[in-house]
Amino acid sequence: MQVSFILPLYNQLALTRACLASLRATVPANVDHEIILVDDASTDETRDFLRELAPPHVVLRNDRNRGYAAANNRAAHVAQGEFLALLNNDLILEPRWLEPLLAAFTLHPRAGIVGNIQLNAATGAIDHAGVVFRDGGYPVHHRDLPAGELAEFPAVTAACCLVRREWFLRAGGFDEGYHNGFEDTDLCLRAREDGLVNLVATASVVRHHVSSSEGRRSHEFRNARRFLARWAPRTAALEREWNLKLARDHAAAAARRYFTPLHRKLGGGTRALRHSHRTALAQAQRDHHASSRRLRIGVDLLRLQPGGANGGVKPFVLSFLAEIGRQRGAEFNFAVFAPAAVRDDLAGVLRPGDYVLAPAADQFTVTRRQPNGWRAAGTLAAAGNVAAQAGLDVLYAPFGTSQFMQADLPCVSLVVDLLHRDLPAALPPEEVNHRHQWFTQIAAQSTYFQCNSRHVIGRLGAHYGVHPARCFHTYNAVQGRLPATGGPLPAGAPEEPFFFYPANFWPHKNHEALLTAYRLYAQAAASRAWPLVCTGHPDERMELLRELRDGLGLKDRVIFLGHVPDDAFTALWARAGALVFPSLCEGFGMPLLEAMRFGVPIIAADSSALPEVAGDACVPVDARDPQALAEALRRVAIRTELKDSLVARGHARLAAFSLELEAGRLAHFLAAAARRLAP
Amino acid sequence: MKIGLDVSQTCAERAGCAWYADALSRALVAEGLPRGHTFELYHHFGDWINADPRRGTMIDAPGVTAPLRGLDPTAARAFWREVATGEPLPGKPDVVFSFNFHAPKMPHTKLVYTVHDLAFWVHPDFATDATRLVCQRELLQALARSAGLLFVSQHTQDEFEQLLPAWLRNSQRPHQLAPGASRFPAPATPPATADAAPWLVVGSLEPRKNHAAVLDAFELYAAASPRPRPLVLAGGPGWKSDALHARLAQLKERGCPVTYLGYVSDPELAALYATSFAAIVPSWHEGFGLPLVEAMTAGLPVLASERGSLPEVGGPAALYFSPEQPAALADAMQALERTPGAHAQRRAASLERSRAFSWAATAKSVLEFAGRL
Repeated sequence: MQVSFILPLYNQLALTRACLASLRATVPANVDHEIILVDDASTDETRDFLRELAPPHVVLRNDRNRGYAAANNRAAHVAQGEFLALLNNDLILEPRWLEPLLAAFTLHPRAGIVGNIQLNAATGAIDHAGVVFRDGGYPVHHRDLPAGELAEFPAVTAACCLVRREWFLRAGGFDEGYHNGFEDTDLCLRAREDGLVNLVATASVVRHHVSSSEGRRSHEFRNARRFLARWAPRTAALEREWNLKLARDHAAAAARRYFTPLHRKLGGGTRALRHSHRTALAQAQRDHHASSRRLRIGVDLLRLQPGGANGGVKPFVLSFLAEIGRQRGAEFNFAVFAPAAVRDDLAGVLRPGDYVLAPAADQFTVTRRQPNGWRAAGTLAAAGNVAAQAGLDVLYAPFGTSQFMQADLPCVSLVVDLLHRDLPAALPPEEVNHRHQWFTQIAAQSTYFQCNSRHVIGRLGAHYGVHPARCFHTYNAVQGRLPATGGPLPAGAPEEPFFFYPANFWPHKNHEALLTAYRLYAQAAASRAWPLVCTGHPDERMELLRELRDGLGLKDRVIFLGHVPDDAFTALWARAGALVFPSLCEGFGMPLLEAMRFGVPIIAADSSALPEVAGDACVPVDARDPQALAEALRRVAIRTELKDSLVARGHARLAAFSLELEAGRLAHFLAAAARRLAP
Repeated sequence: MKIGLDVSQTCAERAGCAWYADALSRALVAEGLPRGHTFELYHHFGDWINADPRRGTMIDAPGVTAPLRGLDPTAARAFWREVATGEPLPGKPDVVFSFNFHAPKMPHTKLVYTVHDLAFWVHPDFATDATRLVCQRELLQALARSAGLLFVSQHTQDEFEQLLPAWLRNSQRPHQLAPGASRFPAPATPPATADAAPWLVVGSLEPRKNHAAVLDAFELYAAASPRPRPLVLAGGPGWKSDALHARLAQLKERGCPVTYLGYVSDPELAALYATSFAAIVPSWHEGFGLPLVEAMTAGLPVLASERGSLPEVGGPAALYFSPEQPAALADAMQALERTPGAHAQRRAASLERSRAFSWAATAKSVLEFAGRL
């Protein structure tokens, strides 16, 4: 099905009838559609009217008035269409209103929410041609007809708009914390964060009985407070950008007028006027160039190591950079600072025009990525302002800090967790101090923080007072990095199903509680017990854990495999009976997504970011308590229907993690920072 | 035998385990020297490194040395790293007792590990993450490395068997009970029953100790009594106890007769036992419960929680209540105060029960245990 029309209703039956009539009259015959009407407990004859409707109408009834956001969200969950057309019931739809909205998604590859021109039904004046920000980030309707077929706006109203259902659901729909106001602007800003673009299709026109909804204004203050608390710093920045754009457009229009042939034929004005128009044109061209030239993004990967010693951050960063290049290669160039030894790891990431700067003695040697290999392209002195020499517009620091940070250079820092403050006992004191120092530095200097999860945004605020408006989250959606089919099982791995714990042997990973829990489980399950397989970078602590395992009498049942290559890792996932993830502190928890991908049920700690990642696709457990953990092992190992439902829920949940969207959000904030669009 | 004794925990502000280490070490020396044993006191032990080891237990007797007492933290860390890689301990002891939850690697020496409790697993909320990460690692190290285990109570041993079922049987690891006792002698005078003699609670202000229940009960008791006795709390400021401290301040402001003394010295504590009316031990969980034994030894009637090791230690002498029911505690307080003869009867029962616990007896059996290893 192509389109699901959604109309939330509360009384006003006459308007609803008129709206539906105009809808039926204007939907093209070839558009497969349904019309979902959500009755928010109307008290007039709406109810009787709805009772008589037949397909393609679908009627949902709320037992009480739950508001605009909840009504739309409920409808979206039952909707079948690829697109949702969100409509107010006080619209009159004009002929050919739908086609330009649909076309926008074909014309623009990153179309997010597409709105249209809305006329005041009473006066005929333009009431909405997009939403912009005024007075410190407060949303207002733009009321001038934009140029062109598709015009980009920070937001559009949802009184009449089109959005992809898949994205709407993934974004969680409208925020039900608002009550009949601001939900749409909030949604549009979230779409922007996902790297999407909100558009107004100027050929689509509807008439609107403006704000005839009952109770439309009664929650204005509360709604505004909620909206501004979340978005004000960013919308204020959007307001500044919009004003700049207006000034640029104005100058460009003035210059165009001056240079029209007609104007020339008429002889123009005085010499002075001609001069001022030339100046305006030059300025407009410079502005245009500044906003349309490729942004140069410096990426500090000096701490990248060959092989797997960096842990999960390496595949994460490389996957994200490759995806950004794929999506927006025409807008960005990367200048990657990295040791020469890892240059070939970057080959799959960089595109023509990108280059690598490798440290060598007191300089950086520059090599350019060419379609057919690398080409030396000079050197930069390491002393002095390297960022300026390299012409960077923005610095991306995936390891948090960077030696290239400068007061006047926008910077985006990746924050994967706050282990050093949330669980300092898991780190040596000197490491805690070191991390605290660099967090203090980036909290003061970075423009934006890319956080591994919403949980991390909360922790960054709690420990360093960083306002959420300076943060955005990108889920580590690189579950696709492992090959789909595995190689041979690594030596020592069991043939039978097993509990699997892939994690480095760091104290916060809580292996001791797992070993104790596993022993409790194994004692009870006796010969039917699944073995336990632990992988991770082999180190001193792995040797200690082996000693502890032997002391517990588990030598034959618990297997430490050390580091395994990717294809062996896939083979392990294919055999694993369940993932057990009792870590006490995680910023994300990559193995959870891999378990979902490979159809492996999940047992995970009920703390830190793990509940946010696992959702309902896991057995949550207090991982500090070995008896609770043992009980979870037992349940998952023996209850087939529990396993099946966990796998099904995991599979469904995986759709919430898309590398395209997550990387799109990073790209959005890199571009925003580069253009100085910052809170 | 040459015997090593871990007194590392006695170097900072002392709580239960530190007093246990101090008292048992002194008793072992007293019982051991006449039998020809010699002793080494370790003021740093494994990963437990002290900033100021000079504050720790010292025993001035021939045959007792303290080889690590002069080491600063850096030197002490280096010392235990070398021991882990095969360097023998100074004096090459035959057996070393750990009292501080740590089980360092000592390839040339038999380790006897004291299990105080497993509360860090059984009641995760009652331990900090930092404490749990250390305790769980070290307990499992003890399973791998020790020659024998001491349990401070049968309850602690039961808890161990609940979490590590059949481990003792399968491993054949020697083990035995080593209960604590009072470090204060029985008083010469009977306890105070005057109106001003307070109810006494001893223990640092941490969630496991359940001070909140005593405050609830005390408010009920005070409201129902024409002239309520005061309540005195003694113990370190603890952790996760901001709400409790705030409440204490509030009670004080309201003129409620509740006094929090903070950490008290040994002579002060002895004086408190001698001048109090009765002791309350409200913990959610204890591995042993030294304040209970100390109070009984001082002849104080004791109202104790029915959880953890407390019923085992208090036996028939203590009066028990559910730590979930402050009202039951308030009733017991009133009954003890008002029922004629109840106080005297409980005092006699406490003194009788306290005779079951003696550091000398524990030390003697522990020495015999070590000799069998």
